[in-house]
Amino acid sequence: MNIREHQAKRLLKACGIAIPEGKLARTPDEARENAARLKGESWMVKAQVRAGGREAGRMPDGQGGIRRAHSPDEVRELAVAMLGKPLVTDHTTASGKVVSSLYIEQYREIEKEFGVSLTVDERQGSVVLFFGERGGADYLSPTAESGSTHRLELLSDRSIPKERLRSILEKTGIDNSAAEGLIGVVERMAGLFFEKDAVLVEINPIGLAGGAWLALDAKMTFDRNALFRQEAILMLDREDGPPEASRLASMDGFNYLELEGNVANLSVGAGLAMATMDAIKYCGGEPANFLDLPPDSRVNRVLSAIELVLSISRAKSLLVNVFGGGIMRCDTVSDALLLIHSSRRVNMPMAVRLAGTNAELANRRLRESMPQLYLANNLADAAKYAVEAAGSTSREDGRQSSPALLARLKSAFGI
Amino acid sequence: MSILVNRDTKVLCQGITGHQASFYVERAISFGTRMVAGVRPGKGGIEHLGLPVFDTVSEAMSETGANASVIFVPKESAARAMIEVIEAEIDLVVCITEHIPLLDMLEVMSALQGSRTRLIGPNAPGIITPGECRIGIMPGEIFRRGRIGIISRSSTLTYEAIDQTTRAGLGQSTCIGVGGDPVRGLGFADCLELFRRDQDTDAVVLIGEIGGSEEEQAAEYLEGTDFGKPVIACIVGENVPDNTYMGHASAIIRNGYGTAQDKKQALARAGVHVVASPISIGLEIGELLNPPE
Repeated sequence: MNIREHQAKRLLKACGIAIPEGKLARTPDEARENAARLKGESWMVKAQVRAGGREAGRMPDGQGGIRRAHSPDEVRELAVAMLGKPLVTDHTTASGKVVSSLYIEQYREIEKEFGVSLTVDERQGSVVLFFGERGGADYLSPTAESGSTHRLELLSDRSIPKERLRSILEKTGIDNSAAEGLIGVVERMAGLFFEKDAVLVEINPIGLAGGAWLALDAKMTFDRNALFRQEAILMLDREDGPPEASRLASMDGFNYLELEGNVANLSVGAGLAMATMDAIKYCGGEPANFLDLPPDSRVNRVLSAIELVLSISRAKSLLVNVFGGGIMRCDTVSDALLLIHSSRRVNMPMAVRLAGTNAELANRRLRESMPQLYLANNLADAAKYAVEAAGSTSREDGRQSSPALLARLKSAFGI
Repeated sequence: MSILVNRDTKVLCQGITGHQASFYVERAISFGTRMVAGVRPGKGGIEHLGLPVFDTVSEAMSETGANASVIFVPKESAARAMIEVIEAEIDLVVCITEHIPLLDMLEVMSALQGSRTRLIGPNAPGIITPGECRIGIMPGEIFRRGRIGIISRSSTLTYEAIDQTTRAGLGQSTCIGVGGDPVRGLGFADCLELFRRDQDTDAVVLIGEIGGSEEEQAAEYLEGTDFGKPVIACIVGENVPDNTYMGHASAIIRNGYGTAQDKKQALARAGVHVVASPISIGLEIGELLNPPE
């Protein structure tokens, strides 16, 4: 779960890391007022979206999501240009994220800047510290000068490797007290990281101003699986409007995404859902959606998932592909189909493939009560039927398999 | 033979009194798995599903000789359960629990280091040696004894792959679902090495998906090893739009890293036969191992 810059800075301040003075604004007038209240001669106007790459990003007026203004009136002008407009960055979709609030911050002159972050190396199963001698956009980027970014392992008691960090800092030309100050900042970051179940705590850049370190920008990501014990973080997610939504809407406890094609489909489990989409594509069709039901779904949830895919206006056929196992039983799926059948007329052709736990029972019930369904033997059979029923064929593209293999598949499955 | 579990494996269940655990322990017993004990702190001394229940893992192990454990403990305390069983020096632990906090898993990983325990999971469907031992939540009826090893991340897709090999007339030596979490115990490369050494496994099937680096690590391992057996891989998710989170914590494509194409190419370079589509797993394995006349 990502939070916004102003929220991350609030957390940093609470654990004793200095930040420039700033205030959140939701309207142009508020932005102007904030600038007038914060002392200084110029101000940063920063789009508060949960995505990286804001400075290099683009808004409709061709400018980025982080700008500098030299008067409160100019702050207001920038706010007019930015609020309510989408910001597109390397980390957003092509349509970008709409800017609904701005963080107005005192501009500070910086003598020296670095980048520092703590994150989890999943492959190693450990927490690592990155220190970049160049802060800003270059930090951790593939174009960063080699040798200027250092990777340090945390010690087994979760403390930071002070000696190593100190020896790196000595070579950067900062004096001893600045080095010790920065080590203190990193220690506080580590404290925050473990206390709040973070997976990323990053300050980039961190700047030296008048002998003190200031967090000029901050990014934080928290572990969704740990939110049950992180109430304060959970509250941050709901502050400023609805919780963070991925492109994949989480509806009624299942994952759903609408796509461009016309073969609606529904599977239990993300892996099988991906395989189902691949199978539709392989048989020459285009999936109308991605839908992954968790294996602990009961009849009601399966029912609303089927209703949802049946309502996709582009969809011409439906493929239901369920492998019973875990706590998912096939008769849960057949019960949901029977409930739909008893409540309304469904004209869409449906291929249903049920295998695994209680498949026989489920198939028997469907055969008896819904003879119009195509009960498929396997995924290939089901995908082929659904694609043909939808009457769609995708363009030949480079991903198609070799003609020889296709011929063998044709003879094996009648594709 | 097989890997990790066989008819001599004695299994205990941590969190045995829960609803899900009870359901699967019963099924495991009827499958023929040697279930020997349950563990549930505070319930020591009772009997559940005909099995003695103990307060601690070490008691259960010394009383029953259990050498493997399956964990159905809720996410809040699952890491503690894993650490307890690792410290009790069990050979194998399978953790079914999902949504375990990452920092908790890091503690489990440091407990694992240098221990004698092998961990499968968390968020894993488990492991099965057909006809001998089933630990976890895989459906029992799709298996057939044979000589193919199967390694997979996703649960339901594991069943699909197993089913296709069975229908192609090929049975399985052992099937392992390593789980979908980013930080986990055994990985693809570890399982490949175990299968390489198993005399009763003739070929290995890898079922991968977008995100993470298991497949790339498996490719690295295979490039540096004289594996000596055919390896077949199926990678799903090439039709998932970029940057979409697909329900598995690890199925996130990061800056082009971990795409289906990357993984397929890495595996193909390492000599793996990559199947054209998830519908043709059984067919292609069948053809590879028993070439048509």
